[in-house]
Amino acid sequence: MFSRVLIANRGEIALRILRACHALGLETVAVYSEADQNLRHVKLATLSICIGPAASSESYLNHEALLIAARLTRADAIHPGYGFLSENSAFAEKVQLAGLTFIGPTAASVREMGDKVAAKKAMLRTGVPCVPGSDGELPADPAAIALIAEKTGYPVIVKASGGGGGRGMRIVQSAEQLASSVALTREEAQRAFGKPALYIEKYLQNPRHIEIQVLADQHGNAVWLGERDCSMQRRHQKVIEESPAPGVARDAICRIGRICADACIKLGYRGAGTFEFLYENGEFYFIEMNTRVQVEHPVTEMVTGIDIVTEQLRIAQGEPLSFTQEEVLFTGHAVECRINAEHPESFTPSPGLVHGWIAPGGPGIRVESHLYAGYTVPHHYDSMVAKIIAWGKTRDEAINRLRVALEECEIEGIATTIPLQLDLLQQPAFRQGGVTIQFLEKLLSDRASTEEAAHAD
Amino acid sequence: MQTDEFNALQQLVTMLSRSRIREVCIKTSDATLALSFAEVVPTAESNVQDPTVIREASSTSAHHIVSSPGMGYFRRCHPLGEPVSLPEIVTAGQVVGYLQFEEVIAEVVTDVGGAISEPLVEEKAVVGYGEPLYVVS
Repeated sequence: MFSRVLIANRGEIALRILRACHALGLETVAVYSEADQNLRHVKLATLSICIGPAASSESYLNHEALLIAARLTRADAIHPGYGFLSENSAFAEKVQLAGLTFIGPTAASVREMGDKVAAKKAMLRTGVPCVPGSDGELPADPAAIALIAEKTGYPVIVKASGGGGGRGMRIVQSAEQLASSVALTREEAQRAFGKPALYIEKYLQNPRHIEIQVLADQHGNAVWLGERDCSMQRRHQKVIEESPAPGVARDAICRIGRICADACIKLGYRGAGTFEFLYENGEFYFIEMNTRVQVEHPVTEMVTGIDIVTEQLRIAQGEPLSFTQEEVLFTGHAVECRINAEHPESFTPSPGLVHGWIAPGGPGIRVESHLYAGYTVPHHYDSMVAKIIAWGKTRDEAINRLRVALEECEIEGIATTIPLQLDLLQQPAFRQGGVTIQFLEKLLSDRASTEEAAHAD
Repeated sequence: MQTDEFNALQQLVTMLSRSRIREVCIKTSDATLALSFAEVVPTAESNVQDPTVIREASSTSAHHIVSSPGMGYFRRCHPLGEPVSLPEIVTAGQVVGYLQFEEVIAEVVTDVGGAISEPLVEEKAVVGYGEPLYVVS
């Protein structure tokens, strides 16, 4: 049992975790970098301590600094949030060895799911459908690799075993490109992830990104909390997320949900987790599992009424899940927009002083943000400054409420992606539902081409 | 302060402000005066140093914060050494305190010289990176 939680993160998720802790009567420790002393959660935490300079490597990614801060502030648990060290098995292990509770899965689970080849093997073992491809790591022999690619069927995608989030992967259209693509990806994998291991998968041409949220306790219970459609992406970064996924049969979702929950039990997984799938022609193909709370978790919370962060804390305390699968009820539709401090067309970062911030409101609107008037968005970190989530009885109602909320939202002093989000919500293909993961990239590149042609004229 | 002392001091400040001396510390039996002078770039309109500007610049630059180089329990003296008190005037590079975390003891060093304040935090207080520990003026 723990009573004081160190929040090893920043921004909106740090505030989200702090609120969940305080609601449960747990004390909090805010750790912050030199650039983040004015963050909202730093003011609200039971205790706060500056752990280092602005650079993430010297603060939020610094294992030792975080452990020293925990010891000095007598925190007995660490919540890693998302990003930073949330999926770092070495850190999870150090936290455990220091006698503290890591609010998340075991270090072994984090390690297994962080290695894409090991994760895929685990999924195949537990009956989770995977994209056809190599059984494990690619061999060194180019002829053997060519044979695997041939058997999988072109186009294929070469991926780094230690990669994720769109990094360390390359699409190969034909046999001629294979050798050079493998060599390049191997070199990138070594440089970026410290290991050159690769694997090959069938490249799906026009899939959607649909993921399943799960919760598992330490007593062999696991539930699935529905799906999220996160197909609106730019450079593999999600832009809009929603639940339920439009146009996907409920029995198909129930089937894959049950498979994911069963897999958690078979794997001895504990905590919150997300099984990410590509979905094409009515089939689900596992791509990776995230062993942490996701940015888009509020979408699930809005349609189920379950507080995922609170459940994470309860599970870490050793409590059994307080509800069964049958008690999970899905109501209405929820859509989330990520608001980034970026120019809405060029996507160049726009850090700086926020002169004014007026959050939207009204029925079904939820805002997760650390912004306030007078806050300066630093340039050192991720550019996301707010998430606006709308719930409605129907998908149309949720989207309309979200549109009004975005129109109402005022963030003065910095450029944000709100104009892009408003634009996307009005797109006929989005309104219809079921866009694929290529939709946004294609929309943007078509617009760029049209603009270029207009300039040429 | 007597009028003649004040006048003498004013003359001294004026003279020093026109010199290339940037910092000075004058100590008498009952008082210590630390001064530092900001560089004033002459403008096209005027190449005369505005005494107001000097006074304002001096008042900010004359105070230097010695901040914590890391996290730990603040200790005035080395936890394993004899208790010693800091002199009123310190020199750049001088150890002015310690940070203790378990068996690790790190030195707190001032990078400027001058009159040092009492510690801004209590003995054995938990301090974070960059936390102000002393004022050197």
